[in-house]
Amino acid sequence: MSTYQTFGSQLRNHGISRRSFLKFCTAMSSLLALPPAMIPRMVHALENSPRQSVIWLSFQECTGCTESFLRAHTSSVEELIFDLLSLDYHHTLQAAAGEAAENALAIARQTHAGNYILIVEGAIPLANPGYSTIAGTSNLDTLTQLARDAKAIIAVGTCASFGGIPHAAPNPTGAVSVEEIITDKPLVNISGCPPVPVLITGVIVHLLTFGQLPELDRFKRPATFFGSTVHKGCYRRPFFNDGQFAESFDDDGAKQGWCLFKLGCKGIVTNNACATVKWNQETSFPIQSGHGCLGCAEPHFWDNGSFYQSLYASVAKALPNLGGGQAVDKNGQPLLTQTTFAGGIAIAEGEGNFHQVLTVRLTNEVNIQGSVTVTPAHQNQVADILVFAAYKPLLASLDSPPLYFMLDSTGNILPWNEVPATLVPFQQVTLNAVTEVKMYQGLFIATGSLKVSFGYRLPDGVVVTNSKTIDITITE
Amino acid sequence: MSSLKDIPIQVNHTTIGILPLLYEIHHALTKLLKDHEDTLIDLRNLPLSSQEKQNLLNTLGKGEISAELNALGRSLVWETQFAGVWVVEHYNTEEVLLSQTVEITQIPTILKSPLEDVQAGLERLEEQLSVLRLERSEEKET
Repeated sequence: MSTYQTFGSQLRNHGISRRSFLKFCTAMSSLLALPPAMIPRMVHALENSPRQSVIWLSFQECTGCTESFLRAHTSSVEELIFDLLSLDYHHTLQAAAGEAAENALAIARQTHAGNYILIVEGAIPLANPGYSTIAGTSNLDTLTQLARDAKAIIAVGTCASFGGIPHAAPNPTGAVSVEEIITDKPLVNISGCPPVPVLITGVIVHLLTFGQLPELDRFKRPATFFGSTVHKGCYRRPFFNDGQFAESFDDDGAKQGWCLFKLGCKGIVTNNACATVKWNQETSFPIQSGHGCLGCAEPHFWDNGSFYQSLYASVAKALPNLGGGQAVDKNGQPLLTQTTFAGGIAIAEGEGNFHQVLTVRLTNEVNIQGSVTVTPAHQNQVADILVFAAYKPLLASLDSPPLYFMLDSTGNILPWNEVPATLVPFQQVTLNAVTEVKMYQGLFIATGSLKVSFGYRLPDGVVVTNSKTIDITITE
Repeated sequence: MSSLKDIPIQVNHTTIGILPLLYEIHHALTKLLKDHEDTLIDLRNLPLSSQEKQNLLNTLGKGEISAELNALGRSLVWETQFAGVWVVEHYNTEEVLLSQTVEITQIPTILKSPLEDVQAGLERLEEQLSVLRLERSEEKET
């Protein structure tokens, strides 16, 4: 499979014009989000590169990543990438078998020592070397031997990147990722189950053009592709912003193409390029096909579970504890109460965790949510849910009094005079033992500090609210 | 509903809007006139909604020149109503859009004949000429 021609001479031998090659480089540059000024550099580097030797190892995996890679390159321009590579060993794709195949591997290793790219698909079992072997050699031994002479390692798929499905509890084979074994080589993780195929070729093109791996994120994934969430690039995002959610897979909202967040979509906390690069020649991606994102490119996605549960529902239990509430009767006289509160603010596009104290930017989409554990004496009563806040502009002096605002039932922000009886209802509900209050979702409109309170008012005028507020600083 | 296109999604939201882009094009045209420097704007990497992209193309319009190339799939190139502002779209053989750029230049690179191809063409022409010369001399001899 190996040749020593340059990519440029290979193309000319195949009668491919330089215009076609320019087109290929423009498309790759656009994919890699490189500045357009880099196109001539890419043209020059690729044209003069020898065909890159690639050794592809398959360990504990389902071959889905290989399938994905092959499906990516079925037409014209993208096919050029195959001329760029010399796939010297891939035990699923190569024609050779048995000793001939292993000899091909030995020759590639010897001939291209220090220069080949090692692509690894699948996790590596450590509990017992016999759980997964190739030609009698354990995956661990194969990986450590071949990594030694590799120029760089590409861990393809979530199994190789983070352990993936084999690593999921109870992890009977002791499966680990490549990164947990090889620590002294340039390594990039292209996670996903399977990964978006063109990301693999994009990384190889970058390596050949610039002689180094692209910029990586904290999980060693190429930042170009994994620097943004699926949510940010999702065409259904405007529905999220407008609060239009499908509640089941066959309701009117689903038929109108509304946001799948409440059906368990994990696009908000998943960094991947699915929504922008898409699949099957940019035809579609899971959300476009009507199913929420499973978050398959993130570590521990299988163990995190809750595929069909809203992200907020699944994290509601993790709301910060705000302690016991405070209560007053209709005349404003204090009362004792056993009602307790939890609540916080989360940045929708962040890690999704709720905080009692948080600094956010005006550009952050936030979610403010509370939970009231209602004292038994108040349960099953129809009550007004109340939401109000004390606000100070950022530059206000410490001793200046705050301005008070409240939310009405349509989400409007109204001034409030601090008299409990004048609070307008945000909602009217029958109080459960645990009553959830989803206060606000969206952007803030001004900088400043905000102390958020919430609670309920019973028919007899008793008002119960949190004593420890949710404290937010909003900056530009 | 028989295809993905039938899903009734109407996205009318704006992101950055096209005004900053028009200013960038204005700046690039000034640079082209003053310093003879080309500019290339990659539309696929800008956070534009599809509606905004269409608005931009509508605003730029079409000028006197348009060309279609066949190089591993179609490429469409046209000069907009503003001379020196070109739109270049590359598709693969399955008509998937690979890149969409606005080029501020006198003529986009993809339309120029690359010197390597000119060299190859020259060599082919010389081969044909030598064949013709040979035929001609054989005719004379007979």
